[in-house]
Amino acid sequence: MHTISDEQLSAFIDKALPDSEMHHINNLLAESAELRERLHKLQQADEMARQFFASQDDIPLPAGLLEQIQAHRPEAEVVQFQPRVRWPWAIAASVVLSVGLVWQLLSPAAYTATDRALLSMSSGSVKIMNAEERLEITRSELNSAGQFCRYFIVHTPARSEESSACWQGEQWLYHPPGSSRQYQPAGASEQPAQSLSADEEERWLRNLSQQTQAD
Amino acid sequence: MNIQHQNFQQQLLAALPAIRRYCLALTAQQHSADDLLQATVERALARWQQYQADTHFDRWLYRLCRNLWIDTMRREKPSDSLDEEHDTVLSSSNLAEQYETHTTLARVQAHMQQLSEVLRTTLYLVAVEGHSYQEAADIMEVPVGTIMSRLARARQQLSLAL
Repeated sequence: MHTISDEQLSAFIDKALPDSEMHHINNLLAESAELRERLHKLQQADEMARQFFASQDDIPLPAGLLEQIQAHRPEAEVVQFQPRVRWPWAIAASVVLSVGLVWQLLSPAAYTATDRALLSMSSGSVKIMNAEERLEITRSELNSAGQFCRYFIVHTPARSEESSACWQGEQWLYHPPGSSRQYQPAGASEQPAQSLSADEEERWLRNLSQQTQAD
Repeated sequence: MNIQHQNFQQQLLAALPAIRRYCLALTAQQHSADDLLQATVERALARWQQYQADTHFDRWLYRLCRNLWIDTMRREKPSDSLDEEHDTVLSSSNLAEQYETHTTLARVQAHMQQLSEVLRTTLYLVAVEGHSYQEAADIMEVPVGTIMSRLARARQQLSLAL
């Protein structure tokens, strides 16, 4: 008689026992035909499982699945968000955004994806920019100089930070993260900024759209 | 082009056969497995931003698939129990009579379908896909000891049907 359980034999099949126990069971197997038969049956169970799953490999994948994956595009998603709702993981500023803003300030000729988003999306919308960045537009206002300004948050997995941009000379003039709430154009009067309603914002966006398309 | 997205697509395409088999391990039925595979791919595409290169992509997909199965699709299949205490002990004589005229594959399918979901899935991960006990434990979010006992019971029940 031996006292080897099915659990031990099962682990023996997977070579998941300590060396000493593997050696011990090997010795018992050499002596016991009954134990060898038990082991053989457990091994046949594995063979049955392999047959079961291998049978599926001969069946074609569901129609359209491969095409669906190949046709997927990362920038295809624009999600409508409730205003002032932040991503749970969003905590601070985006270094990536800062680099991007400097680049945009230096090369204003072509409209970037951020430019286009600010020209077209209403406040409360979120645009997925790439794998790491989401752009959430929070509000619009006219600053003390009467310029149309938009406030937005760039969310990355590590942080979120609000920035702003004002439309000036047929381009967005971006203000670095942290300066958006204090921004005043040179020579500005003390006239307070004016928040825009959804309708007012829509009119501004429509006008800017016509203006940029005309250009 | 977004290189990270391309890598994601390639890994997803490469993982399809294994994920499809995993869907079969969960559902035990071909048509349900394909439905689950479709839903898993759609969820993976919708959440592709979670993709990180050089991480365990297959484990992420396995979990996505399993959570989807638990959250939604399994509800439509109430007869399939997760409770290991309710595993069916196969009767070799009954099954032999019931499937006497079937092909070998049909009998294999019947035996595999008689296993509970957790036993079938554990057996798949270790005996078919070759995952270690620790990897299977990570995927199924259970202790290694549970994997060991599930494997033994799965093999035991199938061997009774032989």
